[in-house]
Amino acid sequence: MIFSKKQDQLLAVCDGVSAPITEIPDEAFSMGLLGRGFAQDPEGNVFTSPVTGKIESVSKTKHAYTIHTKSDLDILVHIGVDTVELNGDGFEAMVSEGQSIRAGDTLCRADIELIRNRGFNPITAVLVTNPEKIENIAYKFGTTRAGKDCPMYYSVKKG
Amino acid sequence: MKEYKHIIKAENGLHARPAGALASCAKTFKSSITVSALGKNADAKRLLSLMSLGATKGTELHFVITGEDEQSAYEAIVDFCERLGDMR
Repeated sequence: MIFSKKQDQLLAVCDGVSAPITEIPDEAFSMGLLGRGFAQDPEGNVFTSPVTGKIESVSKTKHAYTIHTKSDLDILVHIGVDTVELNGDGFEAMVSEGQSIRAGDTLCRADIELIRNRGFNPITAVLVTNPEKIENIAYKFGTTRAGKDCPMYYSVKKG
Repeated sequence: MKEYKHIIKAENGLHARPAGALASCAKTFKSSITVSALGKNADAKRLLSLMSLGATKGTELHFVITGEDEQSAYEAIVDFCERLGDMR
């Protein structure tokens, strides 16, 4: 398979380890109900955008970010499991709705220690939520650096 | 055309998990299903669109369903909203 266009990949969103989406202890993610993608167990506190696009939404609780790409893909970065319940504690958004963002630019800072200490798992989901638009998906799991390594490759369906 | 209004009772609003469940439900119908809330409109079949509403507890969702299977889509949306309160 040839992956020629830069958009055809999801970059790691944080330093840490990337793994199959099935590693996330939340069925909405692990069963693929929200889309296709990968999991990341974060080690650092900086989270970056996996793609170039436009910020479509920042959740009020600052733990979920959605990005729309030029190739019409819907991307969700969701930090932690059930972290909506932290109500914003430990999260600092570095972007706002409607702004453009490049792959690798900072989305937010998250205090992984605080998240763990409050009893939440910081495992992060990076998903294409309209997976019917992509094909030839390939994964490369392991140690990843934010904005540098690519845990997931795909091609956008034509037409 | 069918319309339905629902005030969110779920503590955490329409965050990723319930929004994903709603999009999955909406996608099974041919009808167009739009949701308006807080002055924004969303396509109920798109998770990102739903999340961009920023709908929290107490927000009123206004569904408009149009199409050949609007009756069954309406029933499914009503059923979904009734279960939303129990969804984490």
